[in-house]
Amino acid sequence: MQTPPWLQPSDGAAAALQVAGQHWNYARLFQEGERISRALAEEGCGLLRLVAILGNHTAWAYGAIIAAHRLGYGYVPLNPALPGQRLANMVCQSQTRTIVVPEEGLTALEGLLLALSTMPEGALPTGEKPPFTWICPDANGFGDLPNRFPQHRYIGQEALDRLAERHPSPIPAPSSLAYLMFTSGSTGQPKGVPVTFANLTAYVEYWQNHHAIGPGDRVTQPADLSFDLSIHPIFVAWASGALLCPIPLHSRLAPAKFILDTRLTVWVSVPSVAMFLEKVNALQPGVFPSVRLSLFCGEPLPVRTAEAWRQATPQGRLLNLYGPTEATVAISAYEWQGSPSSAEARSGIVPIGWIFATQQGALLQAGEILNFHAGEGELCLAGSQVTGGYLHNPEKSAHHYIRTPATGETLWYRTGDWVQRREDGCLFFVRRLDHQIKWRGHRIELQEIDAVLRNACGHDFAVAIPWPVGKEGVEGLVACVAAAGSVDDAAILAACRRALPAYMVPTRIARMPQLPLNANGKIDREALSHSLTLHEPQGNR
Amino acid sequence: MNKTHVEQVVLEFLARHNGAPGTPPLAADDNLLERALLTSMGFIELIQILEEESGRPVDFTQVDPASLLTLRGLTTTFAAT
Repeated sequence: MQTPPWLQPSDGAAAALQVAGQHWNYARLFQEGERISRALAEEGCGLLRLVAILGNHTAWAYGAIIAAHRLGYGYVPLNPALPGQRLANMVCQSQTRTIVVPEEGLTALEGLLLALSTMPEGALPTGEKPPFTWICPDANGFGDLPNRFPQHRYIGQEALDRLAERHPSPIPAPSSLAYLMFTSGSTGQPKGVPVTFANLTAYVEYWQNHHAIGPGDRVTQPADLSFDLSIHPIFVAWASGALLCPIPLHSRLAPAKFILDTRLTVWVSVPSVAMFLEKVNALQPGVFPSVRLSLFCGEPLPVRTAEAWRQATPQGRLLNLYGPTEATVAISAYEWQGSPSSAEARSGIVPIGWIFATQQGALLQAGEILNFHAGEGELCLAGSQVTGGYLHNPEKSAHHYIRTPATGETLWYRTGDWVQRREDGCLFFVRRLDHQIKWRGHRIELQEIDAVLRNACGHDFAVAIPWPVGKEGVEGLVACVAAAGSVDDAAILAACRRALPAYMVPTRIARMPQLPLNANGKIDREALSHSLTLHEPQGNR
Repeated sequence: MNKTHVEQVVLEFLARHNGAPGTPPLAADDNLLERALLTSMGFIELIQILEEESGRPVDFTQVDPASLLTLRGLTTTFAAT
């Protein structure tokens, strides 16, 4: 394996990053990366050699990624907006002892320190509670936290400057982790997906070879670092000498002005953003003339939105991407071409297209047989982008990562997505096989919300359901709770806010005399959805 | 649509959106997303209602949505001067 392409900038003077009023060229990005890396010690990154980053909307969070990768370490993105308990769980699962906290993340630090200090010893895979090193590259003060939590080490801006320079490590081992991304987990805890340098390099090289961009391109970064869609723009842009342009958090709601002000040439987002722009009439023909390549990923792309976007970006190509975090961002693509594509779409949704030529896809059918031809089945994926299993979760890994007698040593990832495959290999998403949903691009295991609801309610008759579900997908989340019980709605929702990311907190609670059960004695979510549709006024969503 | 009317529409919407009879006290510069009073979908719905009631469409190629996330921002945009 060679040095990853994103660690070899060819022009230090070229613009690399434009975020929150900070403009860094490649020379500055790598200087700051080197400076942060001075405080990263081998033992502090743990067995998995990971550095956590508590930050999003600041150049220093991006500098921390370079800091980790130049030493061959991976990173764990921690979103400061998440509850402290959840962050502490991720830190413990990752086994890191080093967390980079840019100034913007300091507000979340107290909650994380408190949560870490109250975690039971057994919660840590190593069975011990280590002291952590907190590195703040852009400020000196940690306030009174060092006095209140004196067991940890704190390195501020000036202390960092005094440390000795660090040379980069030769080349990361292919099997070393490039990043650890947490997704929603059905057991009530976030689930870690370790992605290696080999996985990430395979993904980036695919894009360099098939849809190359280069210096002069300005690439959207539409998401928090903890959302795996951020991986594409960061590493493809930096591997190509392009400029990375993260969208400010609140501008993401309808970023038409941002696209024009930034003169973006490459657009990456979940379809919801385009749907929002469409709803507020901002997606007019020809409105974004600078965009030459648009990529949508993370949820079904409606035909109407694809066509409106194509007309809004008349100079551009539009690709609909599909892929789970476990296969490194995306693994299939469909190019939208107007009328011919409309004729191919099914149920008003754009096809998810063809598996990348460098990877493999097959349909798992009855009897654990993999079908490589046309038909229907659970989509299974294999190849250099496909990861090797979940973190500290052998049971879940054994279920989702399989080998079959007919395909020998090849490791297949079962996606849980039921798809149809045409004779020419084009794939069409049909439905999920479990209770996972996509909500504005976020992947949510409903059972994870159920676990929090049941804990808060003190009984088992509480589930989350996606409702309403329109033609273009999920529009909201409702918690259905049996009327019995002494815990009021506000307390239940407050418990959800303490334990779950904002996008997983139900919008409201629907009280029901009793929850319907299916033939297997399980709570029947479909019946609940029908019941809400029958009884709830449209405005009460 | 005057300032009071805009505020009334916003507060009624927030109460409905959050499924609660009332809205917690709200300062003019409180960020509705950060206070978890509004989701992104709710934001789009609220803008559509205010556009319709005020007769003032927002041109998002000129306006950053970040400026419409407070009561003050919404009244400045939608209330007749």
